[in-house]
Amino acid sequence: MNTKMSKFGEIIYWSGLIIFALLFIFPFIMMITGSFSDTRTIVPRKNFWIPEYIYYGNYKNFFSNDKALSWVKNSFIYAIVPVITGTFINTLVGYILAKKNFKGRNFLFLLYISMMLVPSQVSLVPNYVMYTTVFKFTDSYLAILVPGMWSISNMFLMRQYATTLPDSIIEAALIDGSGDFYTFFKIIFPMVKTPVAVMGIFAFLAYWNIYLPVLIYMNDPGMYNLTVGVGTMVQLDGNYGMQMLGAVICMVPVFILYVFCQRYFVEGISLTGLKG
Amino acid sequence: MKKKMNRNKLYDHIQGYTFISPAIVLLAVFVYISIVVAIYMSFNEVNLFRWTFDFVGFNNYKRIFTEDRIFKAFSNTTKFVAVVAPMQTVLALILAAVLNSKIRAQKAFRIVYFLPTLTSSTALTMIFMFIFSISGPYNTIGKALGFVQEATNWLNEPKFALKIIMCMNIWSTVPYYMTIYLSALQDVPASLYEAAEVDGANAVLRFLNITVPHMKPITSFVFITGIIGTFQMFDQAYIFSNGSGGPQNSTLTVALMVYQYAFSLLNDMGLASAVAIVLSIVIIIASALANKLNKSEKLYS
Repeated sequence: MNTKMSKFGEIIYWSGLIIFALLFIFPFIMMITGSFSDTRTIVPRKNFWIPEYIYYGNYKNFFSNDKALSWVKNSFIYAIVPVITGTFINTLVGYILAKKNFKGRNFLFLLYISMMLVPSQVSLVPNYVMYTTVFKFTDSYLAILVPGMWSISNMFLMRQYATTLPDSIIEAALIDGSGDFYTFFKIIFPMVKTPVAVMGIFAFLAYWNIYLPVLIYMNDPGMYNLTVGVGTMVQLDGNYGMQMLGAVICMVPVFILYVFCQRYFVEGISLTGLKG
Repeated sequence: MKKKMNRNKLYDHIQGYTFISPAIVLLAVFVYISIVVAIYMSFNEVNLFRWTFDFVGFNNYKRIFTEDRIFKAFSNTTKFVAVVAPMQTVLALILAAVLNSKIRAQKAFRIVYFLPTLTSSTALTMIFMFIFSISGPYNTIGKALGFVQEATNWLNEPKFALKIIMCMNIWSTVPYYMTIYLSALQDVPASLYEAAEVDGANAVLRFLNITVPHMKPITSFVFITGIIGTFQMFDQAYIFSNGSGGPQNSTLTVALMVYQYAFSLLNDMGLASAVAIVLSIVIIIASALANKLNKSEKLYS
């Protein structure tokens, strides 16, 4: 499409491209300028994208609020712990299912594939009953961190990727006398870096944005994460500046991650997409 | 050497049985027990505060098909899926095809087009609620261009509330699916496009006759993923209406209703389980239909 295009076609093409770019970027600009706007007054502002003056009050209010600070802390706990535990466990299980030969392996594989078919809606209520009555996870980090230790779809992803690894390298390592754990960490892990990075990043995104579980297991607002906590701010007052600030705070860590790991974002989306 | 290999095999077995089997079996037991419990609960009137289960037969299922509010939730969700799932698929494919062509500043456009993927549903909902609120840009721009007569708080309009959620959902999911299409488009041989161009096919014809057929498997995946995702839409409706599904139940989705019955003051986990089971059956049927539709189209193209 890079060569001939009529003048008319070119104009349509570029204007379409730019209109969509504006549609995608405009809300972000509004969000950032909104967070620096003084919107405590009821009087509607004349101008919604340029603040009359730069107002830091929203940020000051947010970061001097103990509850808000604990939301930030909880968000990081909910997001980082599952990245570490989940990535390790899913990689290990996926690798063993792909590369270790033992009786019943195929049966186990079928068993866990079948679990992917169970709709999350159905297990939501029974899981809640189990976690709250048997394990007493209400208002405890464990309600988020325990299920965060595994992900059936990530194990599947790892298993599929690990089957493509050459057997000879693993065998050679074992023959050379390296132990199983040494083989796993020194030989296997470096070979599966890409899917591990993708899994880690997407686990971070999923748990950073986790909503429903936090909502149902945490009664104490001090246990909320940012997404739930900031969400409650919407209804509390009509102060848009504060709400836009909440949106900014939710996005900043994800944005930083994106800037540094851009490649893995795109790769990850295509990896999960092509799996289906 | 041979001995060593055997020893390794023995290790494989031991590891298989000690590490993996217990974990997966345990996981499976939890998952399958939860289905059994969900089915059991759907035939009972459950009161979790008093921990009582009263068998009520098919009563909960009867309520699903007779109560107006439940019907409203299912109809809202169906509308939502019917609009959002096709829209996001088509838009994603078009944008990917456009971005795939070698244009100037292509990288910059790709970064901008990817941005909405980074928003959480909270940030997303708050931004869109502001856009359509009384002092928001929709009113200001609409007044300037003449399609809004009087500044209105669109969030409180039952006719508009669900449409706003549709907008925000499409806005945030299109870039995600677009990325899937973009990476799949790299596999389409460039020679096809060149040959078509030599034959005098314009950009629209090339898109319809080369891009669309080549992307069919991806379209099928995107469309079904979209259907599954949109049927379960919860966060955005919850934040938008503060959990009530208002105004006038116009943003009440099935997932939100399950939440209300199970975890909020309505305290009726039996009904919640029944609704969840019906929803999953609907999702399975819908994705099977979508899959079939896509396959049958393949035959004559």
